[in-house]
Amino acid sequence: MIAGKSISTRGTRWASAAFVLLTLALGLALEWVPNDADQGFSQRIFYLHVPIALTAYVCFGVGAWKALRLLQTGAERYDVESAVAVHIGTIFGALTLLTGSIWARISWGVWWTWSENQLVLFLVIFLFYSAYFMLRQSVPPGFARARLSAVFALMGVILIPISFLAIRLAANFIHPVVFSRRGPQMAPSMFLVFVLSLAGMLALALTLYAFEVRAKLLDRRMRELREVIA
Amino acid sequence: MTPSDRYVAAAYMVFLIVLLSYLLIQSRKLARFERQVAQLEQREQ
Repeated sequence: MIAGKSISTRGTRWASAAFVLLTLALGLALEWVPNDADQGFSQRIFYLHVPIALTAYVCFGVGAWKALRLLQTGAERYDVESAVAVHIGTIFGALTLLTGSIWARISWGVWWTWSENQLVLFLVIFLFYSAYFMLRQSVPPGFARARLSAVFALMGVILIPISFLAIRLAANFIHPVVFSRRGPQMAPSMFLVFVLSLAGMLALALTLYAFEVRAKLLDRRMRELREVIA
Repeated sequence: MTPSDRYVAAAYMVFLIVLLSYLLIQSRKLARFERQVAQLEQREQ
């Protein structure tokens, strides 16, 4: 059996952790935390939307780190790991846009606004990483594709701090700012649920990452075995 | 249930349906691949 078996076992452990943390966090978010003074009950999307967005950033960061390792070492496994991290990041990115759009509809009465830098920059990041897969599909598999994808993944990560800071640099503050230099601007119970939800999202992303890396390694092993048998 | 509450419920449903479906698809795919690799390794021996 191939070396990735432990990845699958770790994935199952992460899946259990994600299930427990997310059930707890989302249950507490709906039933336990107090209503927000400004937004009332609808602010509870915060416990879903913000952890999903932060997890997308982490996945893109991991994708860039693996891409850098590929360029440094030339090891093929980093190409698989980088592509999987970017793939998971793109899924979380799509969910960030979906849940953010729902929150915008409740708070601002619109599904989308082009005047908000944070939203537009996140859309740019999402489209940039969607193009990553177009690039991978258009180049034949091999070291050239791995290097091109790695450079692309590294370029994308530059957009992340810009997107993260856009909310603070924007002149028009309609997007809420809850984390400032003075710490989280929320009640301790709200912060606890937020941390639980973020931990759950990260565990879920790790689960998906472990499963997908393992599936790709098995797929490669299958092709090798078929060639040997044929 | 107010319209705002419905939107919050929609956001939670979107999350659960998309990510948990994806997790289920991946775990089933992984189980299928593991079975196929085991069969191919047996045939190779």
